[in-house]
Amino acid sequence: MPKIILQRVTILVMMLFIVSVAAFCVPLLSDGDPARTILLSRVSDLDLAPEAVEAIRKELGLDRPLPVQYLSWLGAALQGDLGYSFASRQPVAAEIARALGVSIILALSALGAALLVALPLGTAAAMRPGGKIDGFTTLVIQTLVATPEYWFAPISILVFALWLGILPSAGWQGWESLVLPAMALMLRPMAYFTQVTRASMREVVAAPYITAARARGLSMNEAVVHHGLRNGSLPVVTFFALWFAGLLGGSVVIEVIFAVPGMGRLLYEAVVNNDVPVLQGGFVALVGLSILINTLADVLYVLFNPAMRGSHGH
Amino acid sequence: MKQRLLSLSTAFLFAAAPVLAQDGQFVLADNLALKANWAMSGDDAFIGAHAGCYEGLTRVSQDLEVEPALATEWVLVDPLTWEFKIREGVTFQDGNPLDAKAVSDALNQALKSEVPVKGFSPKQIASVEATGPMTVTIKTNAPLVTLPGSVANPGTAILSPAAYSNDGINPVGTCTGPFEIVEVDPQQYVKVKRFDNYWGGKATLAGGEVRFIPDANTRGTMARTGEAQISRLVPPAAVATLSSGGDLTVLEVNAPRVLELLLNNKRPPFDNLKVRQAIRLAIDTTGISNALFEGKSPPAGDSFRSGEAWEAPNAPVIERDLEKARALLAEAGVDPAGLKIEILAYTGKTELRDVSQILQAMLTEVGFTVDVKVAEYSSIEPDMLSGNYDLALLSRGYLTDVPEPIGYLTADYSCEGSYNISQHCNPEFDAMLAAAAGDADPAARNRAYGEMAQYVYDNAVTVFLVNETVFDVASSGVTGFTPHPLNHYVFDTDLNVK
Repeated sequence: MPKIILQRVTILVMMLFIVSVAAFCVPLLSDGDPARTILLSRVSDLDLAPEAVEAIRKELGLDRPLPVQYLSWLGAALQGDLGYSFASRQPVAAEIARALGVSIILALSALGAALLVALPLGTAAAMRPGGKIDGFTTLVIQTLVATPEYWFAPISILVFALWLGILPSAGWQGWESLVLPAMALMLRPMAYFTQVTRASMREVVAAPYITAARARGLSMNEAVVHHGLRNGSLPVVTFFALWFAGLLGGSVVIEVIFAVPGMGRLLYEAVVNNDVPVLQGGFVALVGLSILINTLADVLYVLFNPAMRGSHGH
Repeated sequence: MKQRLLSLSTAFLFAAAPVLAQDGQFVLADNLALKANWAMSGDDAFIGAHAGCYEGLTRVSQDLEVEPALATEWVLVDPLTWEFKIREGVTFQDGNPLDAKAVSDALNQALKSEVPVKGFSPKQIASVEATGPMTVTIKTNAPLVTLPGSVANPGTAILSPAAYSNDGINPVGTCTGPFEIVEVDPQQYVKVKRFDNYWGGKATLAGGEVRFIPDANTRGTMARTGEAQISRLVPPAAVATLSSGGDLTVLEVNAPRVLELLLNNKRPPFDNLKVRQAIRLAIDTTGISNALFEGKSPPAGDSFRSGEAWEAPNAPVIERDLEKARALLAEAGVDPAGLKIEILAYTGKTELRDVSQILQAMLTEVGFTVDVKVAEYSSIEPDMLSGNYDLALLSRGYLTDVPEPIGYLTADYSCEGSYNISQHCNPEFDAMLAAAAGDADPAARNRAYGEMAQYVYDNAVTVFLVNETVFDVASSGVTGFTPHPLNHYVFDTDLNVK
């Protein structure tokens, strides 16, 4: 276990350095003047007063050499200060914390709902391979995997906001506004979770310890529930962690359609606006969290699966 | 591609019938969002105005006249000095009285801001002083006859002294308008309640909310579901469906904005008038208007809309004539077959991609070989400003700082213009601009703007494609709302919903 954590910390430090440099370089990919781009993010007018552009260049320190700008950011970041957003002039840490909070709630809701459907459906499909439930599950998986969120999202608005009038179409106020974006986000992870559960449970069903349990007089369902589910759900833990880390910053389309003030929208706007401090802070936070989540998943995996403990020095 | 698919699926969504409207707060689904911690130099000030909170010394009427607001009258004392009489009996929402000192303090705060307010920056303004209990004197660095219009800009709103601190501006409870901002979530909304001591009489609505909804399709949907009573700038493609149900009123706004094809007037062969005229003749603006804007954005002759006080006196829409275009190119000694030209367009305005492709096809018919480059605006802007381009598409607002087009004409067509993408320079034109800028008679200025627009038309400096129309949607029960041409006011005293 300590070895895993040491490995992950090393990876974390290296990755954070790389992504902070990469985020710093994103605006360099554009030919535009960073000061003009930032000012354009604040005003609808394209004709910018030259004195305003110069004022913002000076205010944000964009007139300093690039290495000085980066080292200045790094020095402050090492002391826990991620600086101020170029666009909003708000502390980056506060902006990220607020957006991350929203995205964590959204991602956990989507993935939790996906698990609630996927685990029983995948298990049921695995119990009778080739049966009706299995056929139905395969159809659902194939359909959901191929369903784009930007198509499903407006359809869900059509049904639940326009026709039925029971859910809001946009915003982030109250649990009602969580439902539609979470529904749109849960589809593909649900398909993958179902697929993984089905494959995993098929192995479990054929395992000797299930046969042994049945020999002791348990029914197939009892044997699977008491002895198989824990083992069968292990791969899902890994997939859950991967999806969770991915959804934190990767639900841009859904966050824009449903006006959810999450991490994806924050980073998307930061890219468009050349808002380097938000990009750097955001990428660092996401990569850090991603490595943390995957480390936790590995730890959970070991805890769930006693057989794994030996391979790590026990 | 994703955006297109999204538009298609959302168009399907708009085809559905609404079921119920929500009761409760009056919600404005706004295209703007708080971006810069209430900095006066940007769009945030417009949110303060939409919310019915911000007020300036003057305001702009629906027909673009400058009217009294917190100032009751103003006079040009000498070419560099304006005197404003401050309205008696006005209190800020925090209870402080409005007087000349409060006004001069607020305007000096605007002048001191790190990023200057457009049209009211230290470059233009020399000083603002309270020269009497209810008199404010503004001195300018050069004659500025449009100053009364500049102080209608939401960026020059007068807030209570309590609004200003080292942390920035806090408009909560510090405005003079009919509505008071009571709650702000910078990512989502501003909530307002009626300010009962408003100098202009109590507003009808008790309160409401300005909600920041970046996606135009979502704003349209919110109007359909009844979640928003007013949705600003809905997609033109959704207008037919939105207006078909009877529950919603689609409001056309003749935006002071033109879609134009900029020509690089310095680069051969576009430095030749005949070539520019030939390009204009090759383009079917009526076809573009009908095909992409369903005729709602009319084909343009000059940059200004027909009927505006500053329209060019004789600038009819040019009919497409390929024979004439070819003849002009021949007269200019230009063989289009030997020319490869590029049209720049930017992604921020989705229709520009389609327009650029249509233009490509039209210009190809004359014989040009045409490439199209569509990219983020910020990445093509440096080439446009430096004159390293052939043709560029632009959606351009011409009343951005004052309610007359002098800022636009100066920036876009004067030799030293800050937005002179056309690379146009003619001292005679600059002299016309200077004369207009010093003319205190608004009618004479309007005539001068018309003459300058005529010059741009006659010299085919730019090809104007359509005068843009935008669309707001309101629930049919909404009264007291007319979209403002400069996008200034929404929550006003008369706004109400049945």
